[in-house]
Amino acid sequence: MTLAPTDLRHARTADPAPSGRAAPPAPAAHAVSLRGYGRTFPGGHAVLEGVTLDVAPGELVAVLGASGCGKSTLLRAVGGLDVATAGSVEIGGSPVRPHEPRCAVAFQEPRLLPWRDMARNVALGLPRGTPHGAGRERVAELLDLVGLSGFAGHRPRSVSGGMAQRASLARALAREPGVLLLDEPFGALDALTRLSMQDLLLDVLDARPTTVMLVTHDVDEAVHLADRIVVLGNGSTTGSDDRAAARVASVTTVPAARPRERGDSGLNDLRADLLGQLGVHR
Amino acid sequence: MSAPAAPPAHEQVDISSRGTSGVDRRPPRAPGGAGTPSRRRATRLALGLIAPLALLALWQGVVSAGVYNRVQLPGPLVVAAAGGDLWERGLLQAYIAISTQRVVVGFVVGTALGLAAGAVVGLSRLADGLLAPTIGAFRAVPSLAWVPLLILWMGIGEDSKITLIAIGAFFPVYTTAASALRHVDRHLVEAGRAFGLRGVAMLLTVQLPAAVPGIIAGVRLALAQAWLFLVAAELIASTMGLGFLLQDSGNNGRTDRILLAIIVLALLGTLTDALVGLFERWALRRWA
Repeated sequence: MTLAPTDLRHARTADPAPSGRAAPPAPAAHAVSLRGYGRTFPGGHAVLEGVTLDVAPGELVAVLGASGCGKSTLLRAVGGLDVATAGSVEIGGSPVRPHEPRCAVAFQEPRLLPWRDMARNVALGLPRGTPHGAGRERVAELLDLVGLSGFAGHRPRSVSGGMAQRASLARALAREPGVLLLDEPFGALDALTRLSMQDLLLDVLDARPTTVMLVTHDVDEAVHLADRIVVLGNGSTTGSDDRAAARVASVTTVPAARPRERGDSGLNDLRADLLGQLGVHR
Repeated sequence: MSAPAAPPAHEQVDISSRGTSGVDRRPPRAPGGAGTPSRRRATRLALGLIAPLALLALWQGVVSAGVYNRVQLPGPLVVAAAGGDLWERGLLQAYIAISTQRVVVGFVVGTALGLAAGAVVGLSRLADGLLAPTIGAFRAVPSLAWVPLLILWMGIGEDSKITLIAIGAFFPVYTTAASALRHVDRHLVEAGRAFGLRGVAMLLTVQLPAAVPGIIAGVRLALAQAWLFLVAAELIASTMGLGFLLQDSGNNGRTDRILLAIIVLALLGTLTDALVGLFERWALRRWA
């Protein structure tokens, strides 16, 4: 992943004490490695099998697939929210632990605590034992990073869906994750908000580089954001009623540097190919 | 997107129209009109007073018309005089004090135990399977059925009365707390886990706050139950208190004092419920 030459955090904020924000060390971006990973649910329904995938530190990998093919299950396994029934899942060379502290998740729904204001919701993501003052500073900085500094005292119900989703992203970043797991984080947003959130994500990653696994069903989103795109599928493009377990159908490197133009015609073939793999033929 | 200093206007939501008080949800009317909050509260209070005043007038009318004789139904002024008489002798204050004390102590004990039991049953599937049926069976026992047993075990002192009131307060809190904790949004709990919360931290950070609105509704019910059980406790064996006043006046044919006791119980019940209602409003603003 390319690092922007200028630190956007500094460009963005007018904080007179930049020394204060140099305090948190940049989190180590971790590699993710799945070896023959499989997940069979009780009752014998195999969702995923034989998934082998390596994500390099700092890489942004998008995971595409039809609804119900196990994209979220895969992500949850990396985050230690679900277990593997076959194979291994490793982060930074060691097996994933339950509720892996090196990962942070942003879910499709913001999942903010409705009785806490935005600042205290973001603070929930701070690693245990963060000193109070340092924590407050980090939260203010993260709210600023996602453009919510004026809304620190607002409750989730008094802000829009896009703002709540930005708070959810800030909460995930507060954990200083070595791997950031995004489970269709923009899927429930309106089209315009979704586009601005995608750009915001890239800005945020410039400021705080880390490994990202992004589950999405949106081909354009994957093409716009990802270094590599993984398509999950079970070989059948006819529909999701086929109960065969999904595997990695393809891994494609997106042949363009970021930032990319939306609708870059050079990527049209890639889009068509990915849509074709998902069963949509033009 | 160049990093926004403030979110775009279309994302900002006018929160002034989203009153959280639970009462003032109607859109504000023109300033100076009949819609200012204090005016509206005064209107509500006046509205609420209409029925009691009408009832009082009806009462006086029935008495003046001589429908019942004066012993069966004394007039409001006679009841007020009976109240003045008891007050002067210091009995009314003493009865109100002892009854309120019994209700408060029994309510606090019952609510605390109900909360603890509700938390255990609501959070642990094992405890739910082990205990819920038994507690449900105890709940089905009518309150008066406990009285002879409590008197035999604890005597006719304060202990048996407070225990009976605590039993009354226990069940509403237990039921609502268990149900509210069992039905906390799974998504929130999973998010809490993903961010490293577990055990007591999870309980205090996510589960308990999420359950607060449900639990408070149970607490309010428990207070009403506590007053109900107070009278049951004092009717049976007591030498003081509003329930004793009812029982004693019934034995002596003092209808005026019976009516007095009923009115005082109604006022005390309404007053304490209003206090818990204030707490509820604050809690809902804080947690809902």
